[in-house]
Amino acid sequence: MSNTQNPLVGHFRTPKLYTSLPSQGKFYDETIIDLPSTGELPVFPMTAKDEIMMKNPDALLNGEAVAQVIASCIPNILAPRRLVANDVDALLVAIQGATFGDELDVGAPCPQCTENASAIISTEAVLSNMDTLDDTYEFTTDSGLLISMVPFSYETAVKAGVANFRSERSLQSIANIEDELEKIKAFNTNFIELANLNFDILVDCVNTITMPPSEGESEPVVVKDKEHIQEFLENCDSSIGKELERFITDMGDKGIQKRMQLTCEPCSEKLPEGEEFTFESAVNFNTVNFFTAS
Amino acid sequence: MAYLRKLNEDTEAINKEVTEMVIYAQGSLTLSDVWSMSLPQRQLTAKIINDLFKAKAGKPATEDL
Repeated sequence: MSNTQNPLVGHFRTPKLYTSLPSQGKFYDETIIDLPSTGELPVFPMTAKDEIMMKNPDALLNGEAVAQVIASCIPNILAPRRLVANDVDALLVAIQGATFGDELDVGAPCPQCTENASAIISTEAVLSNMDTLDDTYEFTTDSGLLISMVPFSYETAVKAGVANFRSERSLQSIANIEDELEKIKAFNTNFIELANLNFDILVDCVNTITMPPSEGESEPVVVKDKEHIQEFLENCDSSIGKELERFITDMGDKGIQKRMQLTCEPCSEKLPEGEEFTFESAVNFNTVNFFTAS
Repeated sequence: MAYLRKLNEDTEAINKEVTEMVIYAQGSLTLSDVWSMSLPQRQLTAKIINDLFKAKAGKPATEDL
């Protein structure tokens, strides 16, 4: 027996399953992902070390747990934080399936009694039924600008989660402030922080803005500079912001199907025999969302 | 709070499982070996260690000679 770590340790595991991505690798270059020609990534089960990482509250909140576990279980992913959030959700389901088997427990609160209703789903079925993202998301403004968008990154999703968590905490502390002026001040600070975050998400999602060629020019001007895009969004018409938000919602809905039919046992027991109380709800696959959305 | 408590309990359970496996393996596995094992591998290893101890202990008294 040797006390030094075996350099081949990383090769002990074998892939348990292969999965494609909702993005199909469209928004990545070779510094983010080494996509095999099949378009499917090998997924290894979590090690004991990975499992511990996924139980660390701080690492879950700042996104480090998910980033490290993705890098460990899917070695083809080179920069997990730069993945689009839709892909991260799908990869977490795949890692769960590779580690704990095909059956996955999901749950959501019953709208009637608020008890948690749980169900068992197949990870293979979830992965095979996911929607893929379109090749392009773009629209033309009234003034003729072509705005091209990309889904927001996991890095931005983590920032949003942390801001949401902080906001929940500060709203709880605002309730304890007795002075009304101080309360309004604290509420405004909180509101501004959330508004800034929403704006950051908008900026993150705008990939390019193309201006039609002006008189005497033959080529359109493509703006990629994030600072220029940010300045434009700060000064553009509100209808453009609304259109961008609509696209972001549309892109966010792609990927694994999060809405599922669940049955509430306590509510079903109150119904006549043979009847069940079922409801449709969004279930939470992502451990980090569980934390930040609470 | 209940979720945080559960995370803490799960962490302790994994720590205990890994340490027990290293001790029961009596030198054939290191801590880093076990930390690098997946759940199915750990379950298989635990079963084999258990079977080994049973075999070493001989037949239980309730069985015929």
